[in-house]
Amino acid sequence: MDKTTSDSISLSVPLNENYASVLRLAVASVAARMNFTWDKIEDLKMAIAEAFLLSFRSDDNSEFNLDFNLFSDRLEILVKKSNVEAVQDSMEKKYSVFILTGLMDKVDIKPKGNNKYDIKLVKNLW
Amino acid sequence: MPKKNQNAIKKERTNNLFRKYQKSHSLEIRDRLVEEYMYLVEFLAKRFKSRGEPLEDLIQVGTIGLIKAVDRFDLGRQVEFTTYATPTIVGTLKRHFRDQKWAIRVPRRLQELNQQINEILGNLTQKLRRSPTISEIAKQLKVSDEEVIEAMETSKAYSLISLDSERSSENDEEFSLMDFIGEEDKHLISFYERSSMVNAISILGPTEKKLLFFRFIKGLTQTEIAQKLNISQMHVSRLLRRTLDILRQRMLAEEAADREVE
Repeated sequence: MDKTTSDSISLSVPLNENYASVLRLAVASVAARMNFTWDKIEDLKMAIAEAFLLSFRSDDNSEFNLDFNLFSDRLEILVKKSNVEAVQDSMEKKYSVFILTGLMDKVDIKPKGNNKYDIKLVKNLW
Repeated sequence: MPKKNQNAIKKERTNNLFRKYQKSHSLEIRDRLVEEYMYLVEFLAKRFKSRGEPLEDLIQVGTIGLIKAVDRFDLGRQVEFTTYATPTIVGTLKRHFRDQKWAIRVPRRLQELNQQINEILGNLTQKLRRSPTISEIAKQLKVSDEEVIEAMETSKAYSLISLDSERSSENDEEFSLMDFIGEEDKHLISFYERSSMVNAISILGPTEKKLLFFRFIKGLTQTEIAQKLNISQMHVSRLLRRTLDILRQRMLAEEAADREVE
């Protein structure tokens, strides 16, 4: 795997609390393949669940779409067009950003219009 | 001998035993009574068999209920001992499941693996001087990576030791909000701007506050926190997850309440 090119895995999960564990297992298995340590996998699982759980409070019954981009030195998780109210200007913005930045090496939130946001979560391998 | 007669004789015999026991409190007689009614425990324990605990364990737990019932049974009440003992035994069994550490029934294989991982995590961390990878753990335990991942997720099923349980109130020196706010961290200040967040944190016990502080403000890893608080890594993970759940729920509730006011 080159640092510049990456394998990608895309997942689409219904916005239903019960699927949080599917995401947790998925990220754990991707990260384990990449040789992440136990601690970092715990962080990844917690972060993905946090991003997910904060997403489905709106009335929109859409799906939770995300990509795992695997690099030789890091894992990037891209949550696509989330309508996370949490990243809007509410108190939860602070909460979720606080939690996510605490768990990840980098958190990048980009507005995509229409109250949708792309959230990029990066975890370095070492 | 007709069956009815046989039963009557048996009943008379046990009633005699009860009378003797209530006078003498002889353990020998109690043992005999317990033996006499073991079939009841077995019968009741079988009803809980499908919940994932081995039958022998259930019988053991149920026997404790039976002993209690023998101790408390009052012949004067004119009820059959079995009538009296059944709810006691069932109660003990139910309590057993309620107090069990595993909130969700998890296959025994995974429970055991989970415990093994819990044990070797510390060793491996020391040996490697870093948190181990999944395959390092798997190799050590001679299982597949997938099994380790599964067992890792399983630890979630461990029951939610109440955050305000003894662990939290254990003579820990008071760890107040001031410990958080005292940190001169830009991030922190913005984080605390919101009084609702502070409110949410204030309901946490000292251990949980410490966890949040170490993990998110000091940026320690779970392994480091485990060492600091002298608890297992898995416990750190569980408590942390639970703490985040509580905070999130609390905040959602407050936000909803705010909206209603508006």
